[in-house]
Amino acid sequence: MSKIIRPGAAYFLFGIFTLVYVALTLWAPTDTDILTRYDLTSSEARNLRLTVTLPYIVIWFFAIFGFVRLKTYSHLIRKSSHGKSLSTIANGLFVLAVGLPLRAIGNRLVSLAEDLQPHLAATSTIIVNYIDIIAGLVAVGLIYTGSQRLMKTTTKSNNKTAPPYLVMIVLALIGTSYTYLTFTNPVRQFPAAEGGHAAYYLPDFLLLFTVVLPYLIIWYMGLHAAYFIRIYRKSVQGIIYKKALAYLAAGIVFVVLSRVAMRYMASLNTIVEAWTLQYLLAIIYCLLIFIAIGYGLIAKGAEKLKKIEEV
Amino acid sequence: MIKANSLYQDVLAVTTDYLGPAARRFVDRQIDSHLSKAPEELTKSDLKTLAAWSRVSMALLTNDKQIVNNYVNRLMSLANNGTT
Repeated sequence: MSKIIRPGAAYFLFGIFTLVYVALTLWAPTDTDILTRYDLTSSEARNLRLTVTLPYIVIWFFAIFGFVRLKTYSHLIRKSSHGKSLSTIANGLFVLAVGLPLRAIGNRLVSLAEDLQPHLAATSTIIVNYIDIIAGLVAVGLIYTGSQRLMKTTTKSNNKTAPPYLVMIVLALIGTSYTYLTFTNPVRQFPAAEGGHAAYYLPDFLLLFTVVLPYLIIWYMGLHAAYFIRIYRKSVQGIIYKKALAYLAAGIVFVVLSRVAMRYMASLNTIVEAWTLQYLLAIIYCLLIFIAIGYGLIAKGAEKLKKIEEV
Repeated sequence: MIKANSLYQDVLAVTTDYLGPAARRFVDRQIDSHLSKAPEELTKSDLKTLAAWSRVSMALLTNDKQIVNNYVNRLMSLANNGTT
């Protein structure tokens, strides 16, 4: 197994993240803006956070489980070109999986920093945002590289490597609207009021080149990787192999698209703020379920492919 | 030896239609485990045994009996007339 990521270490890391996140959920104070906006007491807000915490932890488990299954399968066929490509994709999925708890823990730490040391709010927000971006770039970079190599293992795939025009148009629409929403966000650099919270605490030129542009790159590479996997699945031979691969391919597409959706949702925060709490929670739960479905499909697909190597 | 290699390649070609990139590893495993020989030593007289064991293995991979039967029949046809 790879010296970089071992399944046992992945589960151990998951355990640490869970403990830290639960501790912060119970201990960190709630943003006073949120308490006022949704008319909640501190204990009500904490209980509500716990209802989101538990699904988060289940999602993280699914993510780590999906990665472990795929990594185990890729190790089984490590001497083949497919094995190396799938191992690279698995590493990318691991980084995406780790990014979930890191972001969640980061948000809790930002709340804590704002409460204990208000002058650290800007620094902590910037750090959390950049960790998310760097993790996203590394993750999609690995998934893109692995899926491109996987696609090239089939001779039929060599002609078509550019996504269809429709995909590019959708990507352009998402990117344009995301850029517009980010730069029309009135609290992107400074909080609306004393004690409030800004989204980025960055001047516009830094926001453009270090946040918006990287996210556009992440989405482009993520959707392109999903397209490569689709091409590979269509080109590869083997009736039984293709059926097993379908789960894996669908899972990777689900995971990539749900992460795009989550980031896009975050850019809607000025619109989202006006939504009722129930509606907001419903959207969050839907996205979490999508992520869980994605990693679950990855695990199922990897298990089916692994079985082919064992019988 | 050349005939055996050719037969092995034919078996591989048939199996690839079902298992794609995993075909070679599957066939090599079946020959090694159940015939106790190297792939290049495969002969027509081995095909009946290979087909029988491959049926068992394939049945573990799919619930579709038609696919399994189709695969086994194609392997057996290699023993009868050398074509699939």
